[in-house]
Parts: sequence; structure tokens; C-alpha cells
Amino acid sequence: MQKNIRNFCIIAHIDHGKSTLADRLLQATGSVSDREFHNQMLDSMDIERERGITIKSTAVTMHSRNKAGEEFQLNLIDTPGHVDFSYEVSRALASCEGALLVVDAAQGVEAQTVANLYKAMEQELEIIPVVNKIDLPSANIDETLYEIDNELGLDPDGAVLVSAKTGQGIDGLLEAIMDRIPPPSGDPDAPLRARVFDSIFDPYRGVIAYFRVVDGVMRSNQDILLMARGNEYRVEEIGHLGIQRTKCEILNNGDVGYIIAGIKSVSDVRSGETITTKLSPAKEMLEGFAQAKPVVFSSLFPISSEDYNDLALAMDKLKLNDASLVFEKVNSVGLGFGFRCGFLGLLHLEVVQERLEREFGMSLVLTAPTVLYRVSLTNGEVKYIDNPNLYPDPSRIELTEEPYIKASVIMPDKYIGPVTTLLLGRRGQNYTNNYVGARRVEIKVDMPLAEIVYDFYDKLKSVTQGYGSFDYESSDYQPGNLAKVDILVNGEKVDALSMLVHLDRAHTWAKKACENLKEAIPKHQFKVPIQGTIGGAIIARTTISALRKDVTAKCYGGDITRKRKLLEKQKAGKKRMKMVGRVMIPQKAFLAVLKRD
Amino acid sequence: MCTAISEEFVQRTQQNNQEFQTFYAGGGTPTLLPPEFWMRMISMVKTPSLREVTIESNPAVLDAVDYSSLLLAGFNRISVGVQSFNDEQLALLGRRHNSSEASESLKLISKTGFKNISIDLMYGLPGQTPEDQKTDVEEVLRFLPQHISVYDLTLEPGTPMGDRGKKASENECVEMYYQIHEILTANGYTHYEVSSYALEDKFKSLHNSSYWNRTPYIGIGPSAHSFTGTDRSWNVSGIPEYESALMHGELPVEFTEELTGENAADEILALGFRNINGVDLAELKDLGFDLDPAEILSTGLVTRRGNLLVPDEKGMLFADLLALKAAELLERIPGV
Repeated sequence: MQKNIRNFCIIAHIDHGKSTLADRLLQATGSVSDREFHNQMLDSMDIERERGITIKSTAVTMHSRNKAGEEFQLNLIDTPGHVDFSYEVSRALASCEGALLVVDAAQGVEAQTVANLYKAMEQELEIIPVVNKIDLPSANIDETLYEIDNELGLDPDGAVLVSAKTGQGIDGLLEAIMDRIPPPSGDPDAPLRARVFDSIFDPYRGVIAYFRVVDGVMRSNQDILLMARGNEYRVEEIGHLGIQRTKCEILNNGDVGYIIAGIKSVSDVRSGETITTKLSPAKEMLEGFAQAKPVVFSSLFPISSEDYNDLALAMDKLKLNDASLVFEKVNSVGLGFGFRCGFLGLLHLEVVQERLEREFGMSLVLTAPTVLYRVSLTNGEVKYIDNPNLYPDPSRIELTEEPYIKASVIMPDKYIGPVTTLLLGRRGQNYTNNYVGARRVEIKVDMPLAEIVYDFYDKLKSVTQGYGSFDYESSDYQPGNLAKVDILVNGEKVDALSMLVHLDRAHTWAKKACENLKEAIPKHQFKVPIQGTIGGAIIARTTISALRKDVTAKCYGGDITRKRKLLEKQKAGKKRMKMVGRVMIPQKAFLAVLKRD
Repeated sequence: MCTAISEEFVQRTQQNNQEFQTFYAGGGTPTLLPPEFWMRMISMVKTPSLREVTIESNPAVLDAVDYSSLLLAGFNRISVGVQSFNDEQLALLGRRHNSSEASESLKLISKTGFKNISIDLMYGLPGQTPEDQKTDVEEVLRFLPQHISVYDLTLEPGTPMGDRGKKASENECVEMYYQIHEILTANGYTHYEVSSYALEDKFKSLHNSSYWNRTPYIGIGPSAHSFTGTDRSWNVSGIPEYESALMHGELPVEFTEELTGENAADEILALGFRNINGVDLAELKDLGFDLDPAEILSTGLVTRRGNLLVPDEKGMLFADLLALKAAELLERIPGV
């Protein structure tokens, strides 16, 4: 019954208890037995569990009765919270009619809460504010309700107070979900339109896509058409999503479920795709489909050039399960063959790196992440540059523009000073601030995306002792006075270390990069000069002094085993270094150039 | 403790028909054990091939030692832990003796009739200048010992000295290394290992050399290491565990490691570039490994003599670097 279906998601800042709340709802509705239960039920990847983040959207169907005894089907769509995956989030939100907005009673409203709330409001979802962690001694419920009213503009009287940890208030929350979130509104008699909100790759079944039926009904044993890609498939299986998948014959209007249809790669069925039937297709696809748009770029190289083919295979396999990853083969003078990759953001980059290293056993060198620059040439041509090594000669450049973001930082007011200093140091402009709670301030600022691609978040956490939260949205391109800084190690340019830097900072940056490299590169038998140059002119230099000795004084009885083990360890360690000319550069040096302080 | 050690001696030396060439009593202060004890131990390894019988001696316990009895017990070589003739630096090292006690004990040992004396010296000490160090070496030369071991001070993190961490700079240590080489070779010594000098070939320490050329050895006592030629093993370090194992008639071995061909080849490299016998390519080949020496020779630190890659004076100072380079160049010979 369409009128008894409730599709909703949970939006929350990291650590505000989204996964715990989901776990508790699963238990309260009897969707999972005590035997099956484990924490973070909905996060299946190791990396999700370890980091406490959600990367993939998923869904789970639960059943509950309201006070009147009416049975409801509750579909919880679990979405990533991180800005890198905001497109996935928006597709998941589009599949819901309501959202639980979780706010930690001890922490209050955070930047990510606000950002995700706006996305939910854009989709016109019914928002139920949920004040979580009310069992904590440090919980300040009145202050949190005040922030919900003032900062979020939501009715604090509608807030539900819960402790996801103890289960307190969960029944009231279920009642609110059934009572306040509207039923799905689609037309059951119209041609099928189902919106894909995510998909995973299963090595045995191929792609399993998750969707919400918006109009019509989805049946097994039919041919479907993916409207954006224009590809047709024979349905192998459809069903409901629970803790396990449950096969069924039909999914009605408003239902959430999965489909298996011999789809080879998740790139073939991107989030936002519309599924219709081949026989009587819908006239128009659902709104909101967009291609993945990478914003951060970096090159990946295998430490050992012989491993290139293994890396190529690993990248292809990863791509099966990560439609947002884009890459192409590159060749670096110093590092050999590798891949230039585009990522949705830094978290996405880290996730890809970690998966390549962990799941595929690769040892990698990553070059400094960079953004996508827009360069207008004197001949009128406009080029997008994602790789410093492809930056045109300055004499051919009319104008270089760089991507900007609108950033929001929320923190206790005593950190305004250090946060402002940090933001101004990162070229922040149009700075405004306002109080969002009794002692908490939101700073809004426009700044270049390039300024946050490395270590910004760590710096923010450190200057606010962990109390600052940060979110951003892309805005536009603005002119930037950029210079390409090259690094020469022992007289040889190492292209993987080149960076595009704002001209005012080029000197400081090059100096710091040289110093960092001096720390990161081990001594050799000869002096190793390190130079930073712009267009051939040296603007910074350091020298790694020559190694004058490398021997231990004593080697008797028991020292021999120790010595051999050390040698074997060093042999393995050298495999994590890259030979550039005569110089061994360790993996960590390629990112060391980015450290600012 | 002595009972346990005797027991291990019996167990380890009475197996098979072993021919011992050297015997070395070291670690701690072995001169404090009664000479009769040592006489009994030496008798267990005494075969016609036994040539070098060494005991370590600490100048701090000079008065308590009867050197002539040690000579009678069978020791024909003595290694004296002088470390320095500078009282300030001895104090910094935490040594319990001073320079005059060191001189006294050397004189006494020589008078007793030891004909093969080795002196241990350290350099790179906190606050030591190359000039100070020269004085130290010259002081050693007054005794004209048959053998000198001269070690660059190694600071171990976690020890009181290591944590103070005020060793002479790397540049100064390198300067001292070459200075020592210059003075001692000018006085007729051969620099045959990173830290070892001998007045004549026959005074090169046979015992130490056996570590470097991978001759099998038996180690006795807690934490002692043994090598059979194919296996390396070591004893437990705790004295109660050590004694209890022997009381039950078992060897107190904590761990035995059987060396693979690659382990053995790595050892040859780790040891070979430290001494003038060098690395023997034929020996590596026997283990199933080829080593193309071109890259090693291109460092200018090593000379090739037939199948041997021999480090020069500077080369020994880069022994670990050479070993690492060579270890990476090892190629397994197919089918061996």
C-alpha cells in the first residue's frame, strides 16, 4: 500500500550518531535478530567501519505498526555525509519524502549538518529534527533546541529527543516517522520510472543497483531501459533490501529495492539514472542526472615500474565499483608509467589510495593533489589544466583562473582568532561571521579550492582543538596569479613534484618544499642539491650533505643476525623508494612537498 | 650460575668430534671467576688445534685478578677494556676505572707474561676532539699492544648515554677514523677490519675473524648465540630460565633459525665489506647467487681481486651501504 510506505534518510554531522541511530531503528523494528546484529550494520566496507564514515548509499526496509495498529513499510536510505559524495547524497535524498536531521546534544549544530539540511530542503523533504545523545552528562538540550530554531530555522517543538545508544525515545521517533513523513506521491498507473541512488559491484552477480520506484511498478522478467545511457538489459532479479536481499516479483510505486540485470560496471548505471521498461518506456527521465565531476587530481605511480600492469588491472577493477573515479595513463620522466586520476575530493582520493594498497597490495607514489585550472591562451583558446606539467608557457597565457568555494566553518567563539588567521592565510575573501548559538560562531568565506586540498582540515582541527567543523560548496572560477614551481633534485627536474602556486607565495612555498624534501630524502654518497625554480630561475635551494659513513662499529656473535635482519628490512624499504636519476626518493617525499608548517 | 655454565659446556662440547681453534671468555667480567673454573672449561675444548684462548679484562677490577693463574689456566691472549686514557671521558662513559688504573693493569699484564695483548679503545666520545683522540691513540702506542680494537661510540636509544645523545659529530668521527688509520698504520699495524688493527698477521684475532668468515661457533651463557654453519640459535636471556633448562638436561635455546640460501648470501654481504678479506663471489655462487660487481666497483670504494670484492680504507666505512647495494643486485642462479 503506497500510503503506508515511508521513505526517509538520516542526515548528520560525522560522529553525531547516524550509524548508531540506524542500528537502533533496525533493532526496534525487529529487522535484525540479536544474533545477526553488529555495530554499524549498514556500513559494509572495512574502510567505512574503521573510519566511521559512509561511502556508499544503501537502503534497508523495515516494518512497524503505529499506535492505531496500522502496518507501515519504512525504507531507510543510508547516505554518505561527506561533501565529496554530495552528488550521491542528493540522489539518495531525491528518493525520500522525509529526513531525520540528527544533532548531537553535546556538540550542537555543525557545518555539515547545515549543508546537508539545505540539500534536504531543496528536495522539499519533511524534516524531523532529532536531538541525539541526551543521555550524556554534557548534553545541553535547551541550547541544542535553540540552535535548531535559530540556526536551522526548524520548529524546535517538533524535535524528537533520543539516545541512540540507550534506545531512549526510539519508539517516539518511529511514531513521528509514520505520522509526519508523507507517503510517496508517484502515479502507480504511469509507465515505470525508477531512480537509481547507488550501485555496488558483486563479483558473482555483476552490478546490483539500488533504486526507488517513482512511477508505475517494477516487475521481474522484463526488459529494462536505462534512459540516460540508453542501454537495455534483461532483468535477472529484483527484490527488497534488508539485512539480506529478498527476491520478489514486483516492486510497487514508492518501493525501494535492488535490481540485478547483467550490468557489467557501475559506470553503466550511475546514481541518478532512470530505469524504465523497454516495452512501454516513460517519455521523460527523472530530473537531476549528472555525470561525475572530479575536482581534485593526482597522479598515481607504482613504486616499482614493473608493477604498472598490476596497477592497471587494479584500477580497472576498482572502477567497476566506483563510478566517480576517472583516470588516464600518464608517463612521467622520473616515475615512469602511471595514472592521472580525478577524484570527487580528498576523502575520495584517500579512499581510492587505501583500497588500492589494501585490497590490491599495491605500493604507490601519489603526486601532490591539484585542482582544475582554467587557462585562456593569447590565441583565444581556453584550456582546463589538471596537471602542472601541462601548464602552458606563461608567454602564451592571457588569463589563468582557479576554482573557488564557499566555505563555512562553525566553532566555539573563542577560536575566532586562530580560525580567521588560518582562513586569511589560505586566501579567504568576503569574510562574514554570525553567532549560531550562545557561544558558537559560523564564519563564511570565499576561498580557492586549491587552498583546502591538502592539510586544511587537519589544521582547522588543530587550531580549534577538534571543535571546528567545516563544509563547502563549489562556487565559480576567479582569476589567480599563478606560477609553476619546478623542483630539481640533483639537477634533474622531477616532474611529479611540480606545483602550480599563487605567485605571491611561490618563494615561501618553494623554500618550504626544498626544506621538507631535505628531511624526507636520505643522505647519499654524494651531495644532493635541491632547487625550486620558476621558468628556469632558481628561487630556493637546499643541499642534502653527503653521507660520510655507513657502518656499525661492532659485529660479533649475536650482532650477525641483527645485522642481516636490518639488511633485509632495508632491502624491503628500498622497494618503497623511487630512483630518480641517481637519487632515491622515498614515497613520503612526494607528499612532503605539500606540508606547510 | 657456574654450575649451569659448566653443564652447558659439557652438553655442547662433548657432542661429536669437534675441533676447536679458539676460545673466548667475554661479556661481563670473566676475570672475576676463579682461574680453576676457566682451567676446567678450557680443558673441555683443548684439542691440538686450539690456538687462541682469550679472556676479556676490565681495568676496574685490577686488584682482584691473579693474571699469572689465568696464564696457567691456558689463556694466551687478553683483551683489555681501556676505552680511553682521558679520565673525564671515562667518567662520561660510566666506567669505574681511571687512566692510571688502565696503565697499571696493562703494565701488570705485560709483566705477567702475556705475549698477545689487545686494547679496546673508543672514539667519538662526548666532547672529544680529534686532538684528544690523537693523544689517546698515542698513549695506547706506548704499550705497543699486539692488537687494537678501536670502536666508534654507538649510542643506543633508551640508555642513559643514548638519551643524553652528545656524541661527537659525524664529520669529527670520520676525521678520527682516518686519523687512527694513519697513526696506527704508520706504526706498523694492519687495519684488517673496520674497528680492528693487528701488529702482525699472526695477531689478527682468529676468534673475531671466525665471526666474519662464518666459521661455526658455540656460544655458552644466557643470551649467547651459536652458529652451526647452517643454523643460528640463541639462548634465553633470563638467568632463572637459563638455569632451569640446564637443570632439566636441556639446552637453554630460545630460538633456532635455519638460514636459507638468501639469508646466508645476505650475511656474506653484511660481513664481507667490513673486513679486508672482502666478499667472495665464488662463495655466493655456491649458494646459488650471481652478483654483477660492476655497480659495486663503480662506487670507487671496492677493488676486485680475482673472485674477491675487497673494500678499501674508505670502503669499510661504507660497509652497510655496500652490503645493501650488493644485496639488491643479487640474482638467483636458475636451477641452483
